[in-house]
Amino acid sequence: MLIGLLLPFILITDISPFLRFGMFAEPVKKDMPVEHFMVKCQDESILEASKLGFSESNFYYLLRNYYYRDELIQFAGKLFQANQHLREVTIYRIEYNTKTLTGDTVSLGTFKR
Amino acid sequence: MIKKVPIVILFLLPIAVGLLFFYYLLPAVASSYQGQPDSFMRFLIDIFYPRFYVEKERFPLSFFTNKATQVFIRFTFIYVLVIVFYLLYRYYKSFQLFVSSKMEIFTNHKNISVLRILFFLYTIYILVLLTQDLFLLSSIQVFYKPYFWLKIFHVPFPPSTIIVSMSALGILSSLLVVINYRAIVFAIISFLVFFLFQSWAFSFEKLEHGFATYTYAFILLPFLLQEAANTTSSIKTWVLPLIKLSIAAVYTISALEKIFVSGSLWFMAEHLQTYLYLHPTIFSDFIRQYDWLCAALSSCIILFQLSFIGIFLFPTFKWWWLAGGILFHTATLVVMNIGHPLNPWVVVYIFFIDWTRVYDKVVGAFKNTKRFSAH
Repeated sequence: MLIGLLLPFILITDISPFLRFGMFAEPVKKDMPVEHFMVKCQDESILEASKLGFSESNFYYLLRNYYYRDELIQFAGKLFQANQHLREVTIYRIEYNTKTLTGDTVSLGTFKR
Repeated sequence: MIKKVPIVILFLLPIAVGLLFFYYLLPAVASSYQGQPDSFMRFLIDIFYPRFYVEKERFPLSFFTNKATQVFIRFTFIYVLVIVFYLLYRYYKSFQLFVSSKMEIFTNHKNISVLRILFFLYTIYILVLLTQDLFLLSSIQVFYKPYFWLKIFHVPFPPSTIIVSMSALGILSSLLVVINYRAIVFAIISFLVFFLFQSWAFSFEKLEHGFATYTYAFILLPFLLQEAANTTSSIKTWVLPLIKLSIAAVYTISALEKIFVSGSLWFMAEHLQTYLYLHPTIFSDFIRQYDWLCAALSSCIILFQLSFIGIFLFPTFKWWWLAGGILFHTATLVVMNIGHPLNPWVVVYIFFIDWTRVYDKVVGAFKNTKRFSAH
């Protein structure tokens, strides 16, 4: 049991069912921008994660992963599979600096079914 | 001569790990970063560090070599602690007695019964929540990426019929444990259902820590029930102290993680301010305005988590840590909207309470009240 507790700490990873407790541990750099994502549907309304079955945090966590893996096309494809009513989505990335209170919004692309 | 051999091994092991680190791991990290991992590294990344493929796109190579160096430093740190413990235990009788007094305690059936009933009633509640979660997740199962054991055994996301049947099995098993019918067998079944449900819920690229200490207690609980089943009188237990130690160690390891990753930066106001910004509520917006308050709260969090192992070593003062824990988790919920009102991290505090004493006090107070009203 104690080995199970210590191994994730040493190897800096989760070894199910034993977990690494790195939440909030990462250092925050001065003036580090905070990023948000937003998905808009064909009618310009913002896609609500809860209507798809996601919690909001899980949805944006997943989207962020797909973005950094350069797999947004696959992400959009899966969104279309999960919701038959979606025909088109536009994904935005918003970078915001908490110190200077400045931000920048970039469209990452529009994807069609 | 025989006694000297293990001592030599004690010194050879960190040297071997050091050689492995400098001559294999560091170059292997660099080649994995450049997209050419060998088959062993690919296996390690796929199983233990799938986030590498995301982080590789975000961070420079130095991020990963630093991480590899951290592994070596952490190994050495824990290794030194273990060796010191081993040598103290081997050569100091008083230390041996101290360890024995902490790791082998006496409890009774009344205490174990209360723990069993409370824990498994709560398990029923957790299984209902997880069942609801899995139903929600089934609508987005196109995003399913099996996590760890599920990946190794190629387990797909379950259809609704399987979710319902397994949920019923888990809930029924927990109920049978509550009424103490073949408690050990049904506790194991209940754990397996919980573990599988949790693994499925984690298979959407996001791991939650919400059930961590509860899971560790759950793994050990069947052994505690086994100890209780083996005797009719007072129970000499090593499992109950181990459950307490595991829970306490998690807090201390969380603090060590923060210190190892961020060092003194973690105590800067800016650190907490950024995390408060990411979890906006009226309370987090208020606290964020005051640098001194953020720095003080960060220091209190580290102090609380680091010292939590004291609840195991100095049980006389346990109520301080328990109250601190309840305050900490409640504050996290209220200020950052993280957690749950019936938080499993707080529920496992039941293991630190001597329920026999609580029972005796409640019954005593009740008898006194009756006597007083009779007069």
